Amino acid sequence: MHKRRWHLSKAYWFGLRLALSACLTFAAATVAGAQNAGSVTKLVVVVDGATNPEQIPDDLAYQHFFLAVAAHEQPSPQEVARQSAQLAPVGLAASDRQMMTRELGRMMTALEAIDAAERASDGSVTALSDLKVQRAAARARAITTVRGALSTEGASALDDYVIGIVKRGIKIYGTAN
Amino acid sequence: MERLTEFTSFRSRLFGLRPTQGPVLLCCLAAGLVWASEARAQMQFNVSSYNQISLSSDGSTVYGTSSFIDNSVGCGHSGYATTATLITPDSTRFSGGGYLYGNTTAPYDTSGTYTELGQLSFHCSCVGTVGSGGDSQCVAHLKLEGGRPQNRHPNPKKEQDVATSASRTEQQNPQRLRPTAVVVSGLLAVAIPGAGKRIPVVQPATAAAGR
Repeated sequence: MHKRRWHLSKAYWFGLRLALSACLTFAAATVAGAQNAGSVTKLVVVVDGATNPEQIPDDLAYQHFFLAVAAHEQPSPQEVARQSAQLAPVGLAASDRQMMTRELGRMMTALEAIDAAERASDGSVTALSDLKVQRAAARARAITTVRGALSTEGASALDDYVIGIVKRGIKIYGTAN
Repeated sequence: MERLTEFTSFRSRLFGLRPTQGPVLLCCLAAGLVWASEARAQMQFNVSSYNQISLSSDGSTVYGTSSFIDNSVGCGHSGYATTATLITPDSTRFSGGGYLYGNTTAPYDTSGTYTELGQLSFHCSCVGTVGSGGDSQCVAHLKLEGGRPQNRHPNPKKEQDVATSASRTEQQNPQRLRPTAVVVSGLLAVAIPGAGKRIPVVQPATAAAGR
């Protein structure tokens, strides 16, 4: 009788084993995920601008330089001094510099609003991706505006500095394969 | 006894592995690990950093900046935290922090190499905490030789006012030597002509603020 009960259905046992396998699979994945969450993934340098500046895109170099130099729209005296020191090597005329700092201030305002939105976001991949796109757009807009409004000499000087100097200070990180 | 037989039977049915079933379970475990690692595979990290060190026009202050741009594709990244550290030749560290940028400020009162370090950490929805940078990776150097004894502020608190008082100081010390910058072997070296002596170190008080 009992024997018959346990032999009720091969499909029943198959289903039970399948469920057990699924549980094991899920457990293994969870354990692996937990290990990832507990450790820190370290990124490594995949492109070093100091040795391979030609592998740093111009656009990326501009974005980094603008981020480094940007100050608020209403900058503090300390910000003005820092920005002045950072822009001095570029050799821009006063009018070009004024225009550039104004645009960088606008970019900074936009980026800080995006940063704040990111901190307040629900953390979903979609929301974070949207904010990343907005951040990139704000940087790109500043580059386009500044480069379009600079004098010919100013544009040339900025180009020389960003491509010749800034690129060498950039590193691109990725994961080791 | 009957119950024991039933249980044994149940256990052997469920866990009793026939020669062909062991590998199947192992495959399931492997599949789980692959499933987890696939999240990593679909994530393509692309984070770039830029560090810069500058000297103020009056040669009194060293500014450091670290910025990061995350162009990674795949998963959601949030909770960025940038730490910028400016290390003076006498190993004093000035730190600043921010979201994706960080600034540091130190008084220039010691000859030697100033080093800016930038470090970033953030949360990735696929792999957890991610870090980049470090002492051996993300650095910029500024080699300063000579000194500016005339313009140093004995009271470190006044360093904050260096920028605003620069023009006034300039008038007081018209013959003060201005630094000149040249790029040597990837290092930005700033030399102040005629000055080669090491000046006493003033304990810095200003740590920097990040953006």
